[in-house]
Amino acid sequence: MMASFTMRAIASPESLAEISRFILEAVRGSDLDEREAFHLMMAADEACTNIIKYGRSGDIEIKCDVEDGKVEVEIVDDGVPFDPLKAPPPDIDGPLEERKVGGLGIYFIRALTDYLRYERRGGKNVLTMTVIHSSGADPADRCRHLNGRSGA
Amino acid sequence: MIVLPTGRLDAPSSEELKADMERLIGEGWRKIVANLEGVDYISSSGLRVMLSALKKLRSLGGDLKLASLRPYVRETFEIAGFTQLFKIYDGEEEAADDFRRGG
Repeated sequence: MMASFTMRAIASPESLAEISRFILEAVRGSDLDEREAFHLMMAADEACTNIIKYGRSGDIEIKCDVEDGKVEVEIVDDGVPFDPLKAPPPDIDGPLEERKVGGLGIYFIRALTDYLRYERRGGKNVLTMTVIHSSGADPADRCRHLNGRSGA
Repeated sequence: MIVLPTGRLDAPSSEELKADMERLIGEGWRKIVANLEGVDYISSSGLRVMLSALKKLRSLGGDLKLASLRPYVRETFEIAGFTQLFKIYDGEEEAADDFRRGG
């Protein structure tokens, strides 16, 4: 099954709930189960939160491609160039005194998606995140995505 | 004191929760239970508010205990490595009882 959905939102905190609703609505009927859909919604929420907080972008454009066994979400903003894949990981094992309050959003995006790609395209940030249905994924596809991640 | 946030704890609503927590701590509350049964989503912004409140309360000799986490919310705490930091209970009664026992 293939379907494509797009939305454009003002880069403001009030848009976040609407963006999440859009993602959950778009993936309804996809091969993702409820938990995988939730993970994708969450990763998109974190990515858009970063854009709204730090990106100084006017709009955010979100494209959701439903494909066999997976869903790909592309998030485009025209704010300051920022590659979230280059951000250092947070400490998630240390004692309370050493825990920092930042860095978790990008960590979530990494933890909750199977494949992530960042590119600068036409003066815009383009972040593409894919969640693959765990039992529906073609093993070859999964290998390709693992190779892609190690090269990122 | 029991706090009962509901709905999505995303970036904007976490700002409100942050203000509420700071107000409660400012008023002198030291033993706080966050009953999360009505929370269907918590983002990193919500986790940050929880972590800040936990640090502040522990430094003042108090604590922030969590109760009634829905499965996805619990999973979010786990992914962040926060389940080792917070005391988590099945219900607010258990959390409150633990405070009464001095825990």
